[in-house]
Amino acid sequence: MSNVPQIDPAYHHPARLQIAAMLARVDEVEFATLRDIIEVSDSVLSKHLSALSDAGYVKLKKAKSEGRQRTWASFTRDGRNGFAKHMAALRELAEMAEQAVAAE
Amino acid sequence: MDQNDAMKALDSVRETDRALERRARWPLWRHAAFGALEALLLLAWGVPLAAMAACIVIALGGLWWIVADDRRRYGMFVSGYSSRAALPATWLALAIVLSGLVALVLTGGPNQWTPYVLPVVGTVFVGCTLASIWWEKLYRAELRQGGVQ
Repeated sequence: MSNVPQIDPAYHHPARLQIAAMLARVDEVEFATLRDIIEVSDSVLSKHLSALSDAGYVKLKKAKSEGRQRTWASFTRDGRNGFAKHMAALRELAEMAEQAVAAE
Repeated sequence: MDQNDAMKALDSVRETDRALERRARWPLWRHAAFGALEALLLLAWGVPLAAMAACIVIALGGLWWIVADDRRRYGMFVSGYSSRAALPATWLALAIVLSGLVALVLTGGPNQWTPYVLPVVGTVFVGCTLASIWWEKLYRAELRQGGVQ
């Protein structure tokens, strides 16, 4: 069995990791706010949100507000747990890198 | 993914936290609105039964309005339980409300108006407002420092 920390492929893409980082800090966030914070285009955000939704990690909800249809995103339980494990794996990998540098 | 990729990924998460931290600010009236709702829920136990129902309906309506206003104004909703680092402030607000409830019951019993009701409710209003302000400080500090997710 390998000792290499297991990262979650669903969060491998930088934009998806940033989406997850944002969702981990809030209960729910509207599409435009998420787009402004992680600084990606509408189409890129839409594509990655759909991928995370298809993976069962993100719940998307449409709601009308001020006469416009808006999309709201939130983590599912699997998404939140998967992100916590992914972050733990990233921290473990980073610590390994720091230990390797210190050992040189 | 190698170790350098992992470090870059962690940096991008920290940058997202910082970007959120720059937005995560709530005005004083929003903290006071939370304090007022908690105080109103408590007041419900210190007034006669008919007024109790009115207090609860108004408090629940206010709660719904705060959530809707947060969503409309900030494009997101962050509950008191969203941040591990800020949980002490959430527990403090809960403890203040429960202490107020115990004080009302001990000084007159439920649904009994006594001279103690207004001071207790006022104390809960101030305490919960301050707890909400403290919550924001803890939440923003967690985002600034990139606390464990």
